Amino acid sequence: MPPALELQGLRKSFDRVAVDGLDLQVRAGEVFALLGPNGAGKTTTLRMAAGLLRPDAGSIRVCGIDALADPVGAKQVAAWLPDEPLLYDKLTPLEYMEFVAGLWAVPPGLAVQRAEDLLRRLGLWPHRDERCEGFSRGMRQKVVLAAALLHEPGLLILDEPLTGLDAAAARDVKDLLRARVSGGTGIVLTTHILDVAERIADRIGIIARGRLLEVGTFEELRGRHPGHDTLEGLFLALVSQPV
Amino acid sequence: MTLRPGSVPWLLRHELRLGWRRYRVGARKWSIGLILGVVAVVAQLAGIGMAVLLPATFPALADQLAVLSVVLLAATGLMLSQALDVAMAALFERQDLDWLMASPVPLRQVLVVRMLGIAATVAAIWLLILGATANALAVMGQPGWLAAYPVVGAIALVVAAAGSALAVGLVAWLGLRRARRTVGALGLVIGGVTFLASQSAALLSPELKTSLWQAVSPPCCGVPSGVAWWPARALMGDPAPLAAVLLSALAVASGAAWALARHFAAGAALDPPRPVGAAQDAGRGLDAGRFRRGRFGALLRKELRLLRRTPNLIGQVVFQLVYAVPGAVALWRNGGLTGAIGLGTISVFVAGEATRLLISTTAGADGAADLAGTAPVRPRAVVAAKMTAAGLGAAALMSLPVLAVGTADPGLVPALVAGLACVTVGGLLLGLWRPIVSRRGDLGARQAGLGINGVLALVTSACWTGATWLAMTGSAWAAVPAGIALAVMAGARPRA
Repeated sequence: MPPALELQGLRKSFDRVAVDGLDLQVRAGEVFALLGPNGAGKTTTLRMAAGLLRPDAGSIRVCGIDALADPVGAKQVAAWLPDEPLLYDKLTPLEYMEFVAGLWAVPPGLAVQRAEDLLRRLGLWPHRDERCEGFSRGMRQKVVLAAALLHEPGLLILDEPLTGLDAAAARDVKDLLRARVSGGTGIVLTTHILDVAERIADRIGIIARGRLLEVGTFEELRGRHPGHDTLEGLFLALVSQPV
Repeated sequence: MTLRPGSVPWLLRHELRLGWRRYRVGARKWSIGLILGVVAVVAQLAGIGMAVLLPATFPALADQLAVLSVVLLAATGLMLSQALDVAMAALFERQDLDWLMASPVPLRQVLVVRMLGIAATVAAIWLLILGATANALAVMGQPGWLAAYPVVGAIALVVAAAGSALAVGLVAWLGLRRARRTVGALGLVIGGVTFLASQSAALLSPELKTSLWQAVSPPCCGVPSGVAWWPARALMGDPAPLAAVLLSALAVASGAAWALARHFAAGAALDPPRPVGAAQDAGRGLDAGRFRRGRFGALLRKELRLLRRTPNLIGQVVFQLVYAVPGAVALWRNGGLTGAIGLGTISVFVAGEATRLLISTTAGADGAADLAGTAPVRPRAVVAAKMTAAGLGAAALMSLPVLAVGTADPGLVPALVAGLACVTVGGLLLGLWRPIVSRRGDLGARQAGLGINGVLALVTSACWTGATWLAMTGSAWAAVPAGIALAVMAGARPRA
């Protein structure tokens, strides 16, 4: 099975260099946490992987598909959830899912079955016909997640997925993500909550100034940098080093 | 100049800077400077014309006071119409409100600054119009007219206080969401009525105009002393009325700030209500039929749904219709418009404005544009769906006038349909190249988008309207306004 995401020599500059020759691989069936301080290039990297930004150099493969040569094919097998939920306030959750199912051309029979299942699992079923404009941030996040999973993506790109969720909702989301991972989906996520990364990520990448400083399991990272028992200590030590 | 952080002038500078940046969104510094320069020169030339015409047309002081009173009344109505929308946004919708309310700045101070910001917004255009006339009169030896500046400011302050009071009151009474809709509708009604009243010269018969004029004019001799004439006298620089107007405005604004602070805090703290009544049939399954659509179908259906759920669009279109009335009546009086040609001409203008609003909503106010960016659809399909939805809306709106004109005079239909097609396609392209509103809520504001992009859209609509009128009357001069419209569009097209 090809990696869910493969980035090679990825570069992107705006008024300054945001991503600087990044190499990264997210395997199918793993959760990969991309950690870094503000402005490290995490969101730019994810936006390039999602097809929203074109890199200045480098290559992107999503589930084996060259995303620069075949962007539509790559998008078909990926889903992106930014930190600000991409939602239409005037649509209901059901209408939103209907729209997303249409965009990803999910067969109607499958779409209806998955929509109902996801809405129920995330506690949105009673609210399926209410417009999203009155929803809390956590509910909006769940609607967007439900819609993103409709086409069963091979790669799930999550930017701060647990922001705004209460404890119960965060557990529901984590359970759902775990279930997807065991089904073969690769997940790449960013978070500033290092405890979350430590608990749910199979591997961790630490990025600063657009470059990947370290990658591996938490145990591997700890072995390479003795003296740091927590991810927080390790992270702070790495990102404070000059490049 | 260094201002003390948290002080009223410091907050006011922040407010004015934000207002300015919202206005010039999308425009480059040099282009906005050029446009403002041209506008200032044109306004000053018009002001010189007014300064010459006013005393020549109305030599008696009483008549001048009557004219100025009518102008001030119209200005007040139009300012109030705008102030309602601006107040609603400034007091309850701006995202920096939570930050300001959580800061140690006294709430009354925040309210005062917001009211000053509202006053500055609604006064700007009138300062330009009346200020240009006052400048010219001052140069011509009547410096007292420079009082127009503080008088317009004072009226704007009173209007800002009234608009804020209405917004705060409606929010307390109806809640945030319903108040927003009500304020939008109220602003449209006040603006429409004031505009039509201000255009009464074009709408009323000569006899009615004369009797109305006699009713509102002051006695012919001497300076009228009634309070009703004070604003006009203040505008001309009469010291006592000027002092009275300025002090009254300050008193009204201070009183409003004092009285409204508590209610403002309560209203601003309102969260959008969470959905209640969630108890729906938990066992009822989903209908698979609703998922049976292709990619383009899903995109188009979403756009049409969102358009249907933007009720302010209808109000906006009606308002554009109101704007077209005086011009149409004037043309009709002068024999330029007759029956079917008149209807056709007006429908082209309304189609242009409706298209501008529709495409602004679909293209300029997409709340989740990145979603389609990450979906496996070609960007062209997304754009096509937006244009189709907006075009369908405009076509549905225009089918009735085309039918009516076709019934009355079938020979006019080709020119009319060509005009409608040009104004619609032109509006769609301009809306894509230079989207006007940035969020759906902005459509509640009558002035939304009347920045550079709005002016461009208005100019092209007017040109296509003129071209259609000339084409329907059989004139070859139709090519001139059509050429101007094409030139404007060519200039507005973004460079690769």
